[in-house]
Amino acid sequence: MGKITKVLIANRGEIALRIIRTLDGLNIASVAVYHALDADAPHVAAAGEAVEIIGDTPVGAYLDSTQILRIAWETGADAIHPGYGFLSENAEFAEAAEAAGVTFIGPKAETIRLMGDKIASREFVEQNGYPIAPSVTLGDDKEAFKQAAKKIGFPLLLKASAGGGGKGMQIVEAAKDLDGKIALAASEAERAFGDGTLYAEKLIERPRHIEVQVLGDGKGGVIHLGERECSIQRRFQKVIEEASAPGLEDGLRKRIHETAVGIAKAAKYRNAGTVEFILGADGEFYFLEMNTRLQVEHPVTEEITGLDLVAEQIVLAETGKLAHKQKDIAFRGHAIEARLYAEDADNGFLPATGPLLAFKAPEGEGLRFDGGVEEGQEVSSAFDPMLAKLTAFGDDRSQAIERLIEALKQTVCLGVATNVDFLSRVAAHPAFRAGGYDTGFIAAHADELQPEPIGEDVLEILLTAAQLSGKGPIAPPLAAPEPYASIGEWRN
Amino acid sequence: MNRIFEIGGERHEISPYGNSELLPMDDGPSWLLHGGSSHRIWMARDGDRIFVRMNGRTYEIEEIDPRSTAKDGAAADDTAKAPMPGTVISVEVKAGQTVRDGEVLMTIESMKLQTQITAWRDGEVEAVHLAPGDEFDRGAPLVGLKGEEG
Amino acid sequence: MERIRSHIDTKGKTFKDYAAHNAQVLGEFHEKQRASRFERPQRDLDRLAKQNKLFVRDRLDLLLDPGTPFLELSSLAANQAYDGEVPGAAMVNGIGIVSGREVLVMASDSSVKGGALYPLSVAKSVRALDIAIENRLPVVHLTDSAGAFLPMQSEIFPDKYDGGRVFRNQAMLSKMGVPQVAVVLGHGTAGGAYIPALSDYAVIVRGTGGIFLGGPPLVKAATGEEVTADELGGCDVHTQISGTADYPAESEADGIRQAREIVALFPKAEKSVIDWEEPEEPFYDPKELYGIIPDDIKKQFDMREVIARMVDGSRFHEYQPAYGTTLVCGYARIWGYKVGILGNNGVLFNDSAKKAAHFMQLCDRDRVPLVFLQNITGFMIGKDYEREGITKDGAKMIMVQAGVDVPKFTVLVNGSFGAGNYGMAGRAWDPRFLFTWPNSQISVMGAEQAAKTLTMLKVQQLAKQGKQLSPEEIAAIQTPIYEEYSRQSSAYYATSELWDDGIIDPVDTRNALGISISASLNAPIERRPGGIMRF
Repeated sequence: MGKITKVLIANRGEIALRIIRTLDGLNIASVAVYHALDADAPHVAAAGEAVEIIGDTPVGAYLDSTQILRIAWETGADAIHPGYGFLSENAEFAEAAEAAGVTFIGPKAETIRLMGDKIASREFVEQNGYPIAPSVTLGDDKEAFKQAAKKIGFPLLLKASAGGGGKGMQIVEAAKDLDGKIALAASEAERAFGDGTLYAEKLIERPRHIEVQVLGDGKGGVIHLGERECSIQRRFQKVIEEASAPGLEDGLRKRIHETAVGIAKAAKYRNAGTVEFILGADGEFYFLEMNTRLQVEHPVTEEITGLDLVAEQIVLAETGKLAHKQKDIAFRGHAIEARLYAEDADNGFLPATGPLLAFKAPEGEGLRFDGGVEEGQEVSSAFDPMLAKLTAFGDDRSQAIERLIEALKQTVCLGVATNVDFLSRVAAHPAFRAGGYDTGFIAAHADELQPEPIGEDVLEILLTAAQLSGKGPIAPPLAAPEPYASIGEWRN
Repeated sequence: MNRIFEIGGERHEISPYGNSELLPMDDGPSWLLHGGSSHRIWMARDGDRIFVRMNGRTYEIEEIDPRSTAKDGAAADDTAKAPMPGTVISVEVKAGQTVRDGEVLMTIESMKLQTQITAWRDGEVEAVHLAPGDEFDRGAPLVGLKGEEG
Repeated sequence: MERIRSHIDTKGKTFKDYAAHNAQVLGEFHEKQRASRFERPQRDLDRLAKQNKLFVRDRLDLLLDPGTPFLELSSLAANQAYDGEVPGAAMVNGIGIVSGREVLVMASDSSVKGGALYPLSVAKSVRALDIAIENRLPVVHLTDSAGAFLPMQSEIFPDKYDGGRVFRNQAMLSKMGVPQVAVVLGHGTAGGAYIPALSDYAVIVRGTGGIFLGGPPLVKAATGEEVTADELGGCDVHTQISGTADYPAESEADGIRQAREIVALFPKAEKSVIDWEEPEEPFYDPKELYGIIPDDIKKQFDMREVIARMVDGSRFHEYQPAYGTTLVCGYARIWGYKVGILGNNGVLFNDSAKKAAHFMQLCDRDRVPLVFLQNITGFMIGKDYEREGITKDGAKMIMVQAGVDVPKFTVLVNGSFGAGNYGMAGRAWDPRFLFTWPNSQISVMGAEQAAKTLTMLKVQQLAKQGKQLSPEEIAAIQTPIYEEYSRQSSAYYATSELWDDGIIDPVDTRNALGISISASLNAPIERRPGGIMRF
């Protein structure tokens, strides 16, 4: 605790840039770390200082806690912001930082450890009287597991205990598939997280992914900053998030907030975090997991509360006190965020790489663009394919959607295939506009979300443009001089 | 020769003539003047990959070299012949092996200069006529590729 | 410049009668031209197909830039010779655009007697290369000729402007720095072998192309050596071993494509700059010419009405409108180029001859190309005129006309008789291009007049011998003379003999002149300032 004067951002891309923006506003010095591949990234130039990091792999460099701590010491940084992903939920790193006298802007290590263990966290939540989806963990007794799984009922979801993001997840439709799916999920989990431990969970009907942003002082004081709806997902990856969740009955919304606050209080949660729930069509909701860090989609909460969450994190890290009382938190309007990924949405969402020949962020009323790349940069497969987040705020959901659609239309990204047109189609889909959708939205409407075939007249324009785009392998012929050009096709 | 562009997996041929115009603006997009109407587009080209964004939709176009698809340009003879007398230094391939355009097939030496005989297209080696150490005259067959199916 | 105010009544009887007559005349012309260009004995077309050769006009389509004009020259050459069996003299020549470049194309028509060279074929080739030299036009040769038609060798080989002149012209072009490319699409034997050899760039098609001074039969006869055409002088021999040709081609299409690439790399044209403005379509419809040109060579018409249907915006600035009124002089624009037009409106008198000489000096000094629209029966004759010096004044006109440095362009609009042809820049006076209309006639004097004169002489001659002729006998003498004269003074005879660069439809005159003027600007125009003599 104590005044923070210099923060090292142990991250990259848009979040690193976003954190630096708040630091600049607070007059706090910033240190960026970057792998050689990111040398041209905007966060490097934006930071007060930048130090290169090395690793066996580019991602490995950002995960090298020893190197990063050393750099913090060398640059005199008194705090580290881990962003999201990378080292943000690495309890050892949080401990090592504190031990080195560097403030870790985030929760305590023990909270990270608790909530990082999917099985332990669920037990904790259940013990404290909060709802969890019926589940059973695969221990040594595979048969007992299978029996318990059958009791939960099919379809059910196999999940990795050690991590999320869709890895190690398998849906089991019937008992006969159980063995095969267990083997698949376990090996995937082993590869992704180094831990093949699984648990089985009831697959909720038409589930909505609702999460609540909380802030805690680490001594049991917790406030919430409203919920977010994150049900627009593809293969368990969030694509579009909103604040507030559309069409939630007030009583239900209140109960979800209170549950989230209750869980965070029970854990004596410190700093910013998000409690994630699954809400079934029957109105029942269950604890899913808690993310002990700032989330990708935090901008939508910032938009409707008017708060800067990174600034709140810093205040909490400096003072150990919550700057606001729950009654002071007001919600106004509606915000929707769309994630811009470098993936070829028209071709199975395969990751796309290449140079960013043109990159233009949209501008307009109520728009916020959190970009992590610049025109001219090379998008490689070494890192996460998210290029930017586009957030549209409106006085109501309808206006937010209109602004989002317009903003997506204005977004220009050439040189690398992106999902921007796919996002446009989702935002314009009537089922999205209606609200009340669930996590099966994209899969259910997959056909309608396909791109329209290219019409003849559009094709003609494209071919004409392509012809004028450059000379190509066979250089173009010269134009005829006058008067020949004006006479045109004539024979005597 | 017509230009060939691939869009959405389909190839289209277009005459290299036309009187459309592209007027780039300072702020990034361009105006495409075609057939009496104007269209505001963003366009960028990298090598033979072309990206166009128009009316809120992004398109990826690839220019295909028409000579790689031309049938009337097929090599009359699929055997590399010695440009002058010399000796074979090394052989890198054998009959039946698949090779890529530009891959080294054989190294020869003539007049104290070493030359690499490289594959003139993707294909399969039909025969290697000489071995390292062999001497040859001008015009001697060196390596042959299997004839392309017409 | 002001627009000419037309006085033609397009609804009047005269107009309609003329139009009906000319519809027939033009119909005949177009049909003759179509037949000459496309009608071939089936066996000749079959032979081409079997040899894997393209028809000459298909080759031209591959060569020329799409959407561009092609001005064909002397399309009806030899139409009255060799029993009509050698249409176009077995070649297609013209000016067009290849890879954005203005060039002269000379293409053998191997569907006609295998592209054999007849005396008029040689004349047509020499004329084409003369055009190339005078106008500094790059040349594309599409050669596919069986060689000289030997039975007529005495008219093909020895004289100054016979076969050798073709190659001499090629050498001169090379010396002048005018590039040439040849595509060898057939066997070039003996003389024909020199066309690629004397060209800067030569493309030869594998299988069908051949270059050899003596073909296989001649070689066998001369030395006993048995050899195939390909072994003797085919593509590989000349592109790999002898270096006589530069580029091997797999097919005719490939060869022509390579020629297009070569032309794209020719040195850029450095054209003379003359006064030019944005062009304007004529205000009066050129088709009205059909109702203006009379149905009888003796009938008069106002040349201004013809000019109005040929020039930009129908605008014409008449020079000395009140003086020498039988010759119309003035400035106009054709496809933007400012030109000085001289057009006959009657017989040439002293004043019209002097006016012409004065006006041509102005144009020469100010670098304004000259366009001559001929409809002339001759200079005025008679005692008074001789005393005034009509011969002397005619000489002034001729002297100035011969001496100008600006390019000259001549169109035989109607009659071209006698010395009037000379003063008005006929063939002998080196206009860069000379075109005729299908109704035109050319001879030293009109057929009727000539027949009458000659018959009268004959009658007088016989009368001296004491013979008296009946009207029928006189007619029997006069009619054949008249018919022979008419035949030899018709536009078709003239064009057959290469006395012009082609018959054109009157409505095509503006395009033909626009292209001709553009082509002529590839050669420099000397600037010769000097005082103007007001004769």
